[in-house]
Amino acid sequence: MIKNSIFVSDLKFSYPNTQKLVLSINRLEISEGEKIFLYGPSGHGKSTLLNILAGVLEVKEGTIQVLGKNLPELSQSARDHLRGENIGYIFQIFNLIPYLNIKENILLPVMINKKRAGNIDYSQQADELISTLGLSEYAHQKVTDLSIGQQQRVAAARALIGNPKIIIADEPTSSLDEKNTEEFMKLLLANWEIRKFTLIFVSHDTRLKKYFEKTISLPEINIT
Amino acid sequence: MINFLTYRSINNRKFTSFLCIASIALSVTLFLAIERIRNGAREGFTNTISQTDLIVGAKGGSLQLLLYTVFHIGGAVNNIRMTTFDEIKNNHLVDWAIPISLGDTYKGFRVVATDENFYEHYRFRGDKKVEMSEGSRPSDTFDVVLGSEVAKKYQLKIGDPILLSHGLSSEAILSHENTPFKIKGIIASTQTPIDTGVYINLYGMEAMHFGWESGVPDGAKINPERFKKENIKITQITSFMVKLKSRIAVLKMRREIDQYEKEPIMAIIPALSLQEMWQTIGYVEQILFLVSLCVLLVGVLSILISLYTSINERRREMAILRSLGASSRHIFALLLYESSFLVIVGCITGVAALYGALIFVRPWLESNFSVYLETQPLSKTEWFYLLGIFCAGTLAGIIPAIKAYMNSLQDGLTIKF
Repeated sequence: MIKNSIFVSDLKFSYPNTQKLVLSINRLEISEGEKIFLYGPSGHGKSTLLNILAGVLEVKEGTIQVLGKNLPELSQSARDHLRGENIGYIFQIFNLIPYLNIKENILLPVMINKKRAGNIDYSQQADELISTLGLSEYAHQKVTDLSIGQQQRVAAARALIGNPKIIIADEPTSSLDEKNTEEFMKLLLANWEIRKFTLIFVSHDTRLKKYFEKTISLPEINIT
Repeated sequence: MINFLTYRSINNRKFTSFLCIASIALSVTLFLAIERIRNGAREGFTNTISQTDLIVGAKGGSLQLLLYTVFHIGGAVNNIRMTTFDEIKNNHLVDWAIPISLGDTYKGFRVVATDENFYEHYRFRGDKKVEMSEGSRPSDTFDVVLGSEVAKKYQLKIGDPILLSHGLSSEAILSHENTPFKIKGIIASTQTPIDTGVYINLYGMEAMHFGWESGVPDGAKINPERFKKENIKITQITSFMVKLKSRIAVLKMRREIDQYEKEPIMAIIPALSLQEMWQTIGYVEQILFLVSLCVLLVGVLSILISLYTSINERRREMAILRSLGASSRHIFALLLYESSFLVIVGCITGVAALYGALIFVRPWLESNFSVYLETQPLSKTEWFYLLGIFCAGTLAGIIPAIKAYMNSLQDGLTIKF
């Protein structure tokens, strides 16, 4: 039987001190090692859902299991640890800490979470990622001198380091042109082929569906 | 991890961090320096004379007695009889007594007539005694010993003859022409009023006034035989300093002196009087202290300003750290770390600058203002001050830290553009 990486049922969420229900999901299942296209146009609770899955927002109602752990039952710091150790996160833009160089940026997750590093030689893994993502020649540059395409690749490397079980990519290509988007997708998916993490790729751009086997549409599952 | 991020983040904002550290360092230096000068000035002042239990002189103002006996300022209303001095000196409670006789000057510098006891027993700044840098103590009637500043100012050497002037005015016109004195020694610098004194013995004082009974010289030639010590009778002095065998007797002795029936005399306790006097002139030091506190406040505020203004532009950075598993508390700690790092570096730089400054400024302060500064290691109080500054600076960092904490709770992983 294939285990669920993420399992959500009967989730209801509204922000503290407000009445408006932002999110109401009856059921959402993502299996381990799956790559999912999560279609999420703005205004359908996309950010809220991602913040909940990452364990940043606290949920009172429903079940949200991430890697078998039910988030509403965990403390804030346990959720922070779960995220730090198991989830790689790629933002839409400005993923990098400006005062660190490329390698330091990539190594940040294992510096913050010793457990994420496990037994692997993460410095070596960082070097490998830098070369597979075609960043070798920029390795010593300031990250602020990189193009946006290059920055997103560094962000991908950072999400991949320490082999997290889940990678959430929040519109990572929305500020890239077509050529850079294609390149980015190829690199990301090539890594997925090797490492078989659970990939949740969030975008409003339906053209990117073609890279994925399965699509979940947020407007359909969010029944507020 | 936090160390590393703090260091890199501060390094990233080099210029503002530098300004911040510089302003803290400057205020720390200023604060500690003012503290030291304050203490140095007070110590220097209140230790102008030590170990002397009582100063005795003619009845009058107690401040006046202190001023003319110790600081060579102003004059006495009356002299006291030598017999009074002898009687008190021989009291069984008295350990030693130093007579002082005033009334003449040398080019504006006070002439102080005293005896061997002055060189033997006078103490200042704790246990320092009067030492000769050149020559020896006066022994003959017309021997004179100079304070270091007097010797320096007039480039005087051992063996030089000098003429003393009658009266305390710096424009004294009547000089003791018939009785030139010969320089016998020069007193090593003490950074006290001793340096501006001209010291002779009581016989010399008496001898140069022979024939001056009417207030001006009568012009009569004086038989040199009269200048021999055994032929000179000392009849009066101006005041004297007393050390008792036991401190416990000070108040009793003082009362006895104040009630002395044969002559109207009074006694003061120099340590107390100096303390009192410092309190009246010492308000300046309190103003200095307040000013240095304000400077310190500005230094601490600079941390607050520098960190607080950086918070908004670092919102993205905080969200990134959050996404990587950092908790809101991590974010809080990161900023607190930054502020404490800035204060620590500021304090260290400030202390280093203080010692640098001390080495350069000290000789100048000592010779020009009699402010006595020792290049001693940080005192307990100063460590306490530094700790206080550190706490204040770190506390100032709490405000931006709270702001960043709130931001990170509110933003989560969603970064607003």
